[in-house]
Amino acid sequence: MRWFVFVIAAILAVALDSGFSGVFTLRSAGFLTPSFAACLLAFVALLAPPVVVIWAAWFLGLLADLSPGLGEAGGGIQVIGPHALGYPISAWVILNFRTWMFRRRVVTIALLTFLCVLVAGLVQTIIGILRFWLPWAGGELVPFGAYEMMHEAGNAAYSALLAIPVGWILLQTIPLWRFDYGTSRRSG
Amino acid sequence: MALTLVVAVLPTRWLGWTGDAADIVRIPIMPLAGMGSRVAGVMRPVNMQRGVAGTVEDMLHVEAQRDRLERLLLQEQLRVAEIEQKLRHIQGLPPQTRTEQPPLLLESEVTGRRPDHPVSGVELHSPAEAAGRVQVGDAVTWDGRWLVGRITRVSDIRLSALPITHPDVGPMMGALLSEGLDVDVVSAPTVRLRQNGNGQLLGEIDRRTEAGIGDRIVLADRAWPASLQAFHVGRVTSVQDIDEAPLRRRLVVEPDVHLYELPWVVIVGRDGTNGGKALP
Repeated sequence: MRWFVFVIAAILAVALDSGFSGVFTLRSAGFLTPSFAACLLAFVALLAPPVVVIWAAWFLGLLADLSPGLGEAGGGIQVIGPHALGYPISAWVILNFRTWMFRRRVVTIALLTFLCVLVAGLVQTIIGILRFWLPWAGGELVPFGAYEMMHEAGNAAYSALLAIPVGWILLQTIPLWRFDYGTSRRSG
Repeated sequence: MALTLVVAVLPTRWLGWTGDAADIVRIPIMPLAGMGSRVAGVMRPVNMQRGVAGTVEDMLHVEAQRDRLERLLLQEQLRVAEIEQKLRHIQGLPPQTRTEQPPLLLESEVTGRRPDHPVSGVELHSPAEAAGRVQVGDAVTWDGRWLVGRITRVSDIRLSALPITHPDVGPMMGALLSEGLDVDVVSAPTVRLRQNGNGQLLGEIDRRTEAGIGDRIVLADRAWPASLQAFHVGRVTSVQDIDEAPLRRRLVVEPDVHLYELPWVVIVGRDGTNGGKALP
């Protein structure tokens, strides 16, 4: 995989998440907002070599964690982990299943985007619980609870919908990425 | 991965460096995110028609002007009341009122926001003229009428702000103004507002105090700069009984304008008067 293509795509995806995604926010439905970064992660996790996928997921997660949002507290403190851990874990899950999937299908990218956002939300909840209970962590900075999990499930479903057009666009750019994914199962 | 997990559970006081890391990481992202934010602002403009009976553009303009003038009037009334009180106590105006300077006003573009939660923080472009003049604790306002947030971090590259509904902003005092033409801000009941973490503010008032849904809350808190007094905080969306305190009622206040929906804001810095201390 060409890393510079990925870095540019990651910057673009995070910029869209932190600047443009507000257009899609469903304010009357619990502020559900889709994620462009998760679409990119699902695409890369399907096609890139395994080690590259994990590092790419960590890099993308780091960018997402250091962006403005709910993980930001007073004093500009930001918690690194919800995405920097959640994305590699979801990438690892995708790597275990991708051999049985039609990799160049938009529907596959949409389903795996759902998985990425859900796992990142689950990791965020776990980190929230850890920070709440660990005596040295200094209390809650990341919200957690049943509502947050429901909210992340909604975000995941919404991101899967967004992944249909975004995934199609990404699939058209495959020649730029120079993926070395060996044998894969293809549709049609 | 193990290192990332360790970082995720580090004590809060050891996470100060993450702000600097974010500054560096956001350098290539901010221009693109700023463009995205501008496009988003055009595609989904701030809904200014909430609570307006008509839909004519002129009417909105006139209403905006009226609100601004009314805010200035309320601000002056609060100021007069404060000065009267001082006169009664110290037999003269305090010296700092004679050295009053106008507040710093800076327009700043919102370059980053993740509006998947009503209390999400935003990232603001740091204008060149902001260097050394914008401080932590300065207010973030919109349209000369609404108080929407507070600056929480200042760096050479960007500014971070949290909405007034974020718990880290802390409690604030507001004056409760009922809907109507005769508004007397000096005798209006004051209410201490605290954030509930879900994008709303909660306050408690005496049961005998008249309060209803739609009543306005304006800032009346001397911990904030004098130039920010009487800025709109929000409207009462619910009045609830409190089982534990039958003589009091709980007000649920929701801002009319939210920080996450704005493409740009105006930062109001400190003026020369007393008050306006930095965030605790």
